[in-house]
Amino acid sequence: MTNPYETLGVREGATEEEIKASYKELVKKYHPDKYENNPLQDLADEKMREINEAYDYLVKNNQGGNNQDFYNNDQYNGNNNGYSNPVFQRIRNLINLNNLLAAEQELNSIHDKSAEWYFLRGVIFMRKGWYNEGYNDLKTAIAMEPSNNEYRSALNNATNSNNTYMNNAFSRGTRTNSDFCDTLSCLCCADQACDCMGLGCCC
Amino acid sequence: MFGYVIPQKSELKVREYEVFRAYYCGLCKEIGKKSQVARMALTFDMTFLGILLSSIYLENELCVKKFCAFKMKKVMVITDNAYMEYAGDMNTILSNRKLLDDYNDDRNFFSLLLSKIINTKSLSILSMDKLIKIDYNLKELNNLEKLKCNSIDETGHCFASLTSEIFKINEDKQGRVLSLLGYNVGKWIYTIDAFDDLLEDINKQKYNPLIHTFNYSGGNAEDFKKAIRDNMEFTLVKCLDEVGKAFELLQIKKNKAIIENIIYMGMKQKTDIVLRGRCKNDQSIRDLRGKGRCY
Repeated sequence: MTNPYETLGVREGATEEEIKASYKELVKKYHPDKYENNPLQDLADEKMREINEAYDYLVKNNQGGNNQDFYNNDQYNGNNNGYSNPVFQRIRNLINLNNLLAAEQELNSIHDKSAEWYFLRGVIFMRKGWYNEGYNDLKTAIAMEPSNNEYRSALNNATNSNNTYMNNAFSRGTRTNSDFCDTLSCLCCADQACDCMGLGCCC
Repeated sequence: MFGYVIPQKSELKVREYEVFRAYYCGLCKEIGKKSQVARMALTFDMTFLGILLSSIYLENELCVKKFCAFKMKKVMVITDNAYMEYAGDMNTILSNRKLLDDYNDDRNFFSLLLSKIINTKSLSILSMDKLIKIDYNLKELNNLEKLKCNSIDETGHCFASLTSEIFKINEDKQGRVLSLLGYNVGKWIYTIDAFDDLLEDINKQKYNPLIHTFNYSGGNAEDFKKAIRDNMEFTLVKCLDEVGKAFELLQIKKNKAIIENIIYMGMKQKTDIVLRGRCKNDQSIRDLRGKGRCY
């Protein structure tokens, strides 16, 4: 195991509060839900295991602290109530194994384009990185079956993930009055133009 | 196509800005070792590639002061860095292919001439290998454009596969992450470029995948652009989100703050600007001094 302090990003001799706070931040970052439709899901899981190991080690060493698993690792089955036909189940399994090509081929051999069909194609597209097609297909599935929670969740997760990115980005900058920022960024644009291939010939 | 992947300069610490500039100048020097003229086509995008790869794979950064003929003074440059040589090769390849593409599109003989000077004759072995894959993807893209492909994802996929190859320089775990990061960076660049050029392409009746993806049928071009903006925002932010997620899985040894600035601030700001239509920034090859028009 690598240095647990390094893994959690805390200094040696950090208090339990500091360790817990850092742990919570990291869980948010590498939470399996965030990487649910992601080809790098296994790497995120590995990272999560490292973090949990480091946390368990540090908290046990501090005191007999209680170990809390802040997450549960669900395989991608969604709210599958077993009604979907076996072909769709097979496709879901292929998606879980990240075998997108096979999943797509199987899906294309089905001619009856039900809501679930559009949903599964949407999921495949999102994993492939074809976000516009994925977005359209998920919306189609929802429109065909508005009461289905699984389909809504998938689209909501994707949109929420986007919002998380935007909030992350927003919180890093100096949140000043937008007018000044607009002027400044316009000046930056012009500045980069007159930089003549440099990042600042005047400094 | 170039100039979208940039830092948000105003949010960099002075130290970080100087490090980034050292990489930028270092890239210029590397390109200059093989071709003085090719330095004109220096891009921030490949600077990003250089600093990212160096920060993952290099233990130590070597920085020296060298004389810059352009600024007529000594500047700090990153030196002795195989990843910068690689980024330099990639810069040259992409510039050369863009020039050839411009020539094929507009019969611009100046582009053809420049492509002979900014050429792909002195590349490293790794770069030559990448060139084959880059050309394969560019050919696919060209075919799709000729067939007036109606999917921004399908056309974007070609360019994204190309950048995915460029970013993945090893078959290790980091390489796997870089491959996905590169894919999403490329998807983002292609999509944002298509949206940025939309009005001009409609006016000049040039192919633009968005025209066919969203079924533009004549009528007010501005209204069409506004109508597809929400869809475009979803795709563009999703690309950046995935770049961020991949980045978090990399083991970065240094310069993390600079790279975070580019991914979470520079590219995000660019997205906002292009979506909301405030500033147009096109660092094309012919715009050698990079005209930034604000309106």
